[in-house]
Amino acid sequence: MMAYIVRRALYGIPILIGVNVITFMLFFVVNSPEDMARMHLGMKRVAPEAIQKWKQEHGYDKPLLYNAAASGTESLTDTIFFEKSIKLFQFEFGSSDSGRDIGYDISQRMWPSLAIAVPTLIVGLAINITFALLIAFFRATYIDYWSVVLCVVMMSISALFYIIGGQYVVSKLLHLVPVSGYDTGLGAVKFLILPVIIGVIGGIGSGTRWYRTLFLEEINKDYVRTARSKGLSENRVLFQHVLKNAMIPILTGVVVILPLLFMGSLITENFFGIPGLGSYTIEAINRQDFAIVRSMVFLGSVLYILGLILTDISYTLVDPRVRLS
Amino acid sequence: MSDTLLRIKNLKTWLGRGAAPVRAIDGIDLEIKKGETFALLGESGCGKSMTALSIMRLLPPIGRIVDGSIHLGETSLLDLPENRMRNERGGRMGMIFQEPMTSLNPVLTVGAQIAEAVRIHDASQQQDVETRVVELLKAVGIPDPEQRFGEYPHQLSGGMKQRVVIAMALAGRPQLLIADEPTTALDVTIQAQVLALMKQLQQESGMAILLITHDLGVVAEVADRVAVMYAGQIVETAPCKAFFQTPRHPYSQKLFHSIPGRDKRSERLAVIEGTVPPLDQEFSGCRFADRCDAVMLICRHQPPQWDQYAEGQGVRCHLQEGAEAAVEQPVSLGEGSVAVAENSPPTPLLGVNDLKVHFPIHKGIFRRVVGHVRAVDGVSLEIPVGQTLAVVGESGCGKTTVGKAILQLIKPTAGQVRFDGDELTRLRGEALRRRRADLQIIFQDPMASMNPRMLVRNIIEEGMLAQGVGGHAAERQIRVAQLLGQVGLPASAADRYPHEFSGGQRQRICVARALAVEPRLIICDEPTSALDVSVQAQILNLLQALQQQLGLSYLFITHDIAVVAYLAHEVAVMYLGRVVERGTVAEVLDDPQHPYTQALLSAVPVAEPGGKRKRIHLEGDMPSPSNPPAGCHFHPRCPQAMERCQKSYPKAISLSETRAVSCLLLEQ
Ligand SMILES: Nc1ncnc2c1ncn2[C@@H]1O[C@H](COP(=O)(O)OP(=O)(O)OP(=O)(O)O)[C@@H](O)[C@H]1O
Ligand code: SF4
Ligand code: SF4
Ligand SMILES: [Mg+2]
Repeated sequence: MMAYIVRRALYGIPILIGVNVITFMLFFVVNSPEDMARMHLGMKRVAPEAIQKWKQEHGYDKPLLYNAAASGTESLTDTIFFEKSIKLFQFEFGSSDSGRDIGYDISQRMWPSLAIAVPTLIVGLAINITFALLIAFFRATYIDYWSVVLCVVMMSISALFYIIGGQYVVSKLLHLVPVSGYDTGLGAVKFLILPVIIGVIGGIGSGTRWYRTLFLEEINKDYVRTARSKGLSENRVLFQHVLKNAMIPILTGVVVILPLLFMGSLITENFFGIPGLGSYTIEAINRQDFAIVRSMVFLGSVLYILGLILTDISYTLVDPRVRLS
Repeated sequence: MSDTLLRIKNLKTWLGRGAAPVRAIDGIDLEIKKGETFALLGESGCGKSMTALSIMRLLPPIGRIVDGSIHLGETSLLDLPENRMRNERGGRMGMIFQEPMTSLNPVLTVGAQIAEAVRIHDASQQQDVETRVVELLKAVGIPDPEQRFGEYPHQLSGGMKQRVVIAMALAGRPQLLIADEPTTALDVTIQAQVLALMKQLQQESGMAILLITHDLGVVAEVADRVAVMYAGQIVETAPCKAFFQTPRHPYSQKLFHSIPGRDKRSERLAVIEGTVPPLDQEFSGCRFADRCDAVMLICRHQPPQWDQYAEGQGVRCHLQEGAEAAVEQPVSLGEGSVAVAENSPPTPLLGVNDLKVHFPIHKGIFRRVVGHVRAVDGVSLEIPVGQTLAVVGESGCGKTTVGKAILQLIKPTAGQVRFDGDELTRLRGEALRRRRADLQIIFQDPMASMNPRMLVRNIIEEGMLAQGVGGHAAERQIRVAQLLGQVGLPASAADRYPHEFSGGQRQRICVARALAVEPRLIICDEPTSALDVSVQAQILNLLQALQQQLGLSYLFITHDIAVVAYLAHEVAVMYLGRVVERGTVAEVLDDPQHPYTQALLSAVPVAEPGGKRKRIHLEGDMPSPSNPPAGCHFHPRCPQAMERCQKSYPKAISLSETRAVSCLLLEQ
């Protein structure tokens, strides 16, 4: 088991390097160090010396990927890519191009992100599972049929519609909670309620429909028939047998996204003015702050790989058939 | 009658609604007496399982019972409200199923699953559920029941799982045990264990068993009375003895004639042409008319009535209605002579020498190899031109791996495979690809081995194109038609898709595909084990005819001894990756020398009631090939094991030119 986890973690390294290279290249296809310097110094008429100085200060004065001037391994290591990447692997994010400490910013801004993501996940899970079980209980009836139709309709509506519609009705018309903003401590609650509710509603369609499929798939299996032949009631069959098996894919599906909850949601945070990591990333992209973008993408990949490893571990915990080796 | 336990009257179960529901059960009557074993026999899709599920009221959502009554003792089951029906289910009636692999909940321990049934049905045991569960596990012959209690289903073998399902069904001390093909998915030696267990439990508890099966051998082995089902109706009922002496319905008779066996070697097996008619129609005549040899004019427009010609015996056929009953030929089940066609000294086409296939087991961070699964561990075989060698053995003994290693589909770890002078293990690339035309394979599951989106024509042509044989397009078209004719399909079949065919027809297409490249050896890997006996007969006939016409050689991988007896010239018996005995069919089947062969043969149910043969019961399951027992692999299960059997693996002793046995009993 331990050996397995170590091996999986080692497999993660080439993935991280790859992701890093791709982010780097994509970013510098669109931007050049000159552009960045101009952007930060204020667009108009910047003296070439000032640009050069900015590049030097921020470490953008070297070649991007390959240093033809240097020799030996230095031709690879004495580049922007290498110098900027190697620190990431030590989780030293350094300072942003505008001079702020990225590590500190992340540690501050992850809390608002979590404050939205965690309640949304838990409430959503509870609601989706309940609905799906109910639908499974009424399988092959009109209730089942129309529930699925409703789910598909809800899935097809864009998340933006839920957000804007919710803000309009709840905040503009009814004045129940503020439209957007954030506060520290308990004061945050009134800002969080609406995004959480909207997040849950937005997820009901796809979540319920997927869980319903999982339940129905289990219900048609042979062991369920065996359970019924023992004389178990339908409730016991559903809760004791079907739910236990269907929870395996549900749980592992949740575990894989758990680490990513830190990253927050780009759209929601932006619309509700929540100072989380999602809006942090968007702002950085708008400001062409490569240091932050690169750090966030790297962090996201690390968390994703962590999620995959956690998924494998959680499988061994909930499914007696799975042993890691 | 007070000794009737279950009485079904005019039961009709339909599936689906709309204009043409499937009449899966169309008016059956049936009585089961206390303590008897009643066999329900019939081919796939005739409604056997639906009958069982109707009794338990466990029909799938699309199914409903539209007419009739089912009484268990004095209780009318169809009138019970669902909550009282639950007391009967698993209480007075227990059920076991065909697929032990999937019929247990994978995430609950076996103890918990049995305990559940005890809690519902056994009021006397509420204090000590666990003791009762252990007692049940012991009753079904599971070793170390205390330890097994906490294990999960995947930790048990197929036979063990079926025992657990039986234990579960016994929890409510049932009066009726419904067993739907309980041993079909199991190996013969395990099947023998499970059938013996059911018999023993029946004697102890006096319960009745409704045994659903398609295997005449199993019926002969355990049943007291038999009912034959065809297309949703019962066409014949009789006590077991009488049924085997004189089956009266033409369908029953055909079933007997289609069982392969040694006495039928020189003849073609009877086949029941066609398939069961679709059940979504009203029948205006006899349902069997299209496939019946004795069909008369009246059969087409008047459904035959049930003719109860004696107490507990009846038949549904116009032939039987007049006084001139029983015109059928008596079914011969006696020992026929073996057709000895082996005259010319055979030249070996394929020679396999000390073939080994070891699969590595990896462990640790760097996936170091810590051991090997010795799937095939030193197998030597020879197949002469135009002959059939059967490889038999239980599942997991390495039969399929031998086949794949010969074809070089798996790279052998060691050993030689000589085919017509070429050493196949040394051929590479182009040379190997050319040789592939000479060696073809047919698989167990015809559907899975064909691309469902390709036309039959393209499926058959594929190999020809790959091998560059068959000429240009027009020539190939003629060749495809000719091949289809050879396997007994119309030329029009070429322009249809695989799913439009029945299981037997699909297997014919696979045979045609194999023949397309004009092979000299065909490896047949359980080609008929997914088919009904009547359909199996068609394929066996076809293979035999092709051998005679084209001089093909077969390596026939199977676990079915009857098929071996019918088709093969020589047999090799495998156990745990090694051949333990080989010889001609006559030598091995008439006079098995290895204790495993003896046990294997004695475990095969024979369609001959009362024929009390000595039964050798093997304990336990085949061990894992990753860790075979020291010495003779068979010693933990061998009834004749001796001290020295644990020390060294016995050498192969030649008893005749064709015969070799690996057992220390024969070493002097
Ligand atoms: N879920 C289903 N939907 C539609 N038709 C079905 C379904 N299950 C069974 N049938 C049909 O009902 C009929 C009887 O099926 P049943 O399962 O009782 O056959 P069986 O005799 O048990 O066959 P087998 O030997 O293959 O188990 C068949 O025509 C079959 O195609
Ligand atoms: S009724 Fe006619 S067709 Fe049907 S089984 Fe009897 S003889 Fe054959
Ligand atoms: S060698 Fe011994 S254990 Fe093996 S089969 Fe012969 S008698 Fe049995
Ligand atoms: Mg069935």
